[in-house]
Amino acid sequence: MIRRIAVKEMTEMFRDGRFRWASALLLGLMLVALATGATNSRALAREHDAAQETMRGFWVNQGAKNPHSAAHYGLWVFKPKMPLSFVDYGVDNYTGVTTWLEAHKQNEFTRRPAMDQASVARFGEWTAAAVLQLLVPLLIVMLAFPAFAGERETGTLRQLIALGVPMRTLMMGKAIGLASALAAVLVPATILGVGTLAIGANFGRGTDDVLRFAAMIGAYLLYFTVVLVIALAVSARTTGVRIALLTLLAFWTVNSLVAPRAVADLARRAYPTPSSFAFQAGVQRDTERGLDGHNPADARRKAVEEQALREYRTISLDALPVNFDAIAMQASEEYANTVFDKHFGDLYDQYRAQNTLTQWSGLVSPLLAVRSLSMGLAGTDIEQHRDFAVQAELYRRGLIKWTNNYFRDNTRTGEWDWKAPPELWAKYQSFVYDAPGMSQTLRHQGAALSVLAIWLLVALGLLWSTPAPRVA
Amino acid sequence: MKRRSLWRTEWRLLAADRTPWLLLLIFGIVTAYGAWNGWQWAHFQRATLTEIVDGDTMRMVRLDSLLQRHAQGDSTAKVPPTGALGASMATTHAVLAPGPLATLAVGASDLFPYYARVSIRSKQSFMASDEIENPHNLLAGRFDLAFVMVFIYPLLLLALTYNVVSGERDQGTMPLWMSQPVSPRRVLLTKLAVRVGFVLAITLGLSIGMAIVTGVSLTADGAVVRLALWALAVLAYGLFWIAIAVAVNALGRSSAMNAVVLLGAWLLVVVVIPSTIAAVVTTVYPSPSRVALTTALRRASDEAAAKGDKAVSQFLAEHPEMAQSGTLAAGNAWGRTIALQEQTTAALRPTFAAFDSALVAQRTAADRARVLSPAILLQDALHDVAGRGIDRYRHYDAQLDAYHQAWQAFFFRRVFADQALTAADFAARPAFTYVEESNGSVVRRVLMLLLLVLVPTVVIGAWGIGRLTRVSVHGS
Repeated sequence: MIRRIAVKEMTEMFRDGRFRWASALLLGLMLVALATGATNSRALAREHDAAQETMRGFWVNQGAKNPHSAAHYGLWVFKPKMPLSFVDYGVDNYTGVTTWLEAHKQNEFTRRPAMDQASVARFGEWTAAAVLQLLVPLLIVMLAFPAFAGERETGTLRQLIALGVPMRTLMMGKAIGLASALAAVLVPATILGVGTLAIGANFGRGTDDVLRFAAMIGAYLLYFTVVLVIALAVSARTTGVRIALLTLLAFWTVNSLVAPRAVADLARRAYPTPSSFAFQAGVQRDTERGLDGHNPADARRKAVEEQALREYRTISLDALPVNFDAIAMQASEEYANTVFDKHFGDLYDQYRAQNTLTQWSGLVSPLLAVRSLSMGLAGTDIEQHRDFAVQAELYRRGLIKWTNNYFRDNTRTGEWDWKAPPELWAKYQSFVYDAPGMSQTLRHQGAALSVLAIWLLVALGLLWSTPAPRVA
Repeated sequence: MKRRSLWRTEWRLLAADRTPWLLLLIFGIVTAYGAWNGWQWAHFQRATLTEIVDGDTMRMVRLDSLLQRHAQGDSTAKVPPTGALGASMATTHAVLAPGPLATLAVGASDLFPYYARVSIRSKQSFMASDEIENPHNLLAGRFDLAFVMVFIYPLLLLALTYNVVSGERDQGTMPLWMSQPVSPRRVLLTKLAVRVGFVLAITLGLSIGMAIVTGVSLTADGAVVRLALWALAVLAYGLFWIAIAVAVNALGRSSAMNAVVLLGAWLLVVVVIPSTIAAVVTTVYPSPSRVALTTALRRASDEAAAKGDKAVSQFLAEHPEMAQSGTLAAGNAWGRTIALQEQTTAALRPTFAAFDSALVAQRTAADRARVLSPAILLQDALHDVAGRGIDRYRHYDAQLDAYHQAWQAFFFRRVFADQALTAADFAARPAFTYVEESNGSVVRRVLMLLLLVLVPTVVIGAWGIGRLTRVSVHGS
């Protein structure tokens, strides 16, 4: 019985000109979005990789120099584009793409691409993710709203019930029928489109990217199922076609356009972030005064001096077989690093708290949950950015420490004019970003996953508990 | 039926319905939330600027008293800073305070810097950090009053007008009023006018009310003009949507069909067209690459450094006004750094010019394309009126550049000569005061945008009203 109903729904759908047109339009839009996304991402990836190479070249060929001058000269690193970023740009246009690794200081990421775009860009980006998050649900709503409401209005629902078809059988049949019609269009197109591009894009890290891609498809299918079940539940519980349609359109509007912004404002109020001025002032205060406020730089230097003298068993700095300036500089680096860890860590934790709140707000708008998952899996969310920032910072610390140690071991205190040989710089390994695996990404998506599961259960419950019309 | 009684009847019909009041309540809440967000943000920015300016003032007072004591021959005073150190101690922030209507929109202000501590170094170095904001929030955009007007206000209008004709037909009341001795067109237009008047009055009232509640001072320069422009913009955009609603109603379809078509039109105007324009414009006129700029900068500064003394003396020879002797004293490291920095900047001038012209090309194309969507036009108009548009930031940026140049010109001489900062120098240092754009130029820009909204409004509206006469009892 369920199969028959499903087949009937599907046949009706395929015969419907509107369905054919809408699906064709949707697929067209998606393919265009995927193609432009792939072109842009690839161009950016090449550009960032090339810039990274060039900067490494500058570092390696900086010539004979004092190691500390080399540390001041430093190195610029660029955030690589993740292989799946062409499906969902995420926040890539709103995070800086590069940072300068130099002595003494953890710099922020700068050069946000959005600052160079026209104001129209903030209406939204035309990505495959946008099609999947906004337009596919609209198609689902437009197809599913008359499922029950239509039959109720024309009286055929009561006829069916009178014939002895159980309401739930009818529901299953309709759900399966509609889902199959949609799946018949969406699934092959998605796999084909993304698959071809992905092969062309040369998936970087093999299995993990494939897993991410599969998880992304899973997340979207879950989202579509939620929307379909909601649409059917609304259709089954409203009296007429008009009300079903208007209710669903209102839901779509709130879900897609109103909630994301409303929640962004809410999140930044719940977990405020400092102004750039206040942030930098805080970092500066803590580096100058010491974390506890009672540890001035001079006292720290004295302590370092005593420790060095003990370690090398001498009584004066002049007798030290190594360069004390380098030792002191490294001590000050390590102290400053704790300050950076605290301030940058707090800032990113605040972002994370905001984003978790946003994910939970998916209880009002499931789009927020799937958007978070999609960006996370595409490697274009703030967690990915943080991961890159942390690795870049660790590389900076290693590099600076290496220059300080080299300076310490090869000179005596006060030899600022000494120059290291030009071939030295190539000896420190180049920076290679090791992107996190999928399991690490999913650790920050717990709320999003729970929200989608809750939506599915609630919507199914609502649909399942719809009473059959009275046949008397 | 007399004209007045027609108006009264329609008003009673509207007022007796529960839906308009419910919609109004929702709209009121949404508007208040938008205004509250705008207020919070403007408040945060003002508090930040107060902190900055207070800190600067304190530093300056301290520096000034040191210099004064020194000038009076007080031997216990610390030695005044020289050259570059003096310049860096005397710097204050060049700030852009939120405009008079700032609470009405966040606009581009979450992305662009509104304060900068100008120094004798290059702009890239003193603008080295962006304003802090969660990129997820930047991506989503803010829920401000401008957003409410661009996205939600049309929905309110459409919800009240989508069935002016079809609703009567659905209820079967159409034949009733068609048998009255007034033309159907007048009945329909009255009906429409009552509903539209209701929404427009409420929207304008809410906008202006929220402006005042959030602390917009009407006595501030330009506040009244800008508020009037805001009202005008909201009105023009409202008329655009009414024209669309009339035209769709005139097609004579069912209410459900009207709702779908109007929602489709809304989706097209506020979502599809803008994001398509953004995609096409950025593909055809790609943003110039900041990444390439970063590498070019490093290359140029390396080249200047490699030339070393030669580059320094070349700079000094070319700028006799800054260094009379034409040479630097031995050990003037800052003088050397600055000379190399300026040589780098000079070498990069063509690169920066190419960068800027690519940006201008993209912006021009985007500005032209926005004709296609009144939503973009309105958004830009509202942001501009509120002083939150890109134009105001460019205006500030230009003043910042001029100030930076003046600051450098003033201190370079002192750095090359490694002079100590004196009380007289300190008093004569360039100061930054942001000069607001003239109201006239804002008015001109915004009116131009509104004119572009009115063109489709008139065309579509005229077609719709013309066709309304052909409305029949049974629909087409």
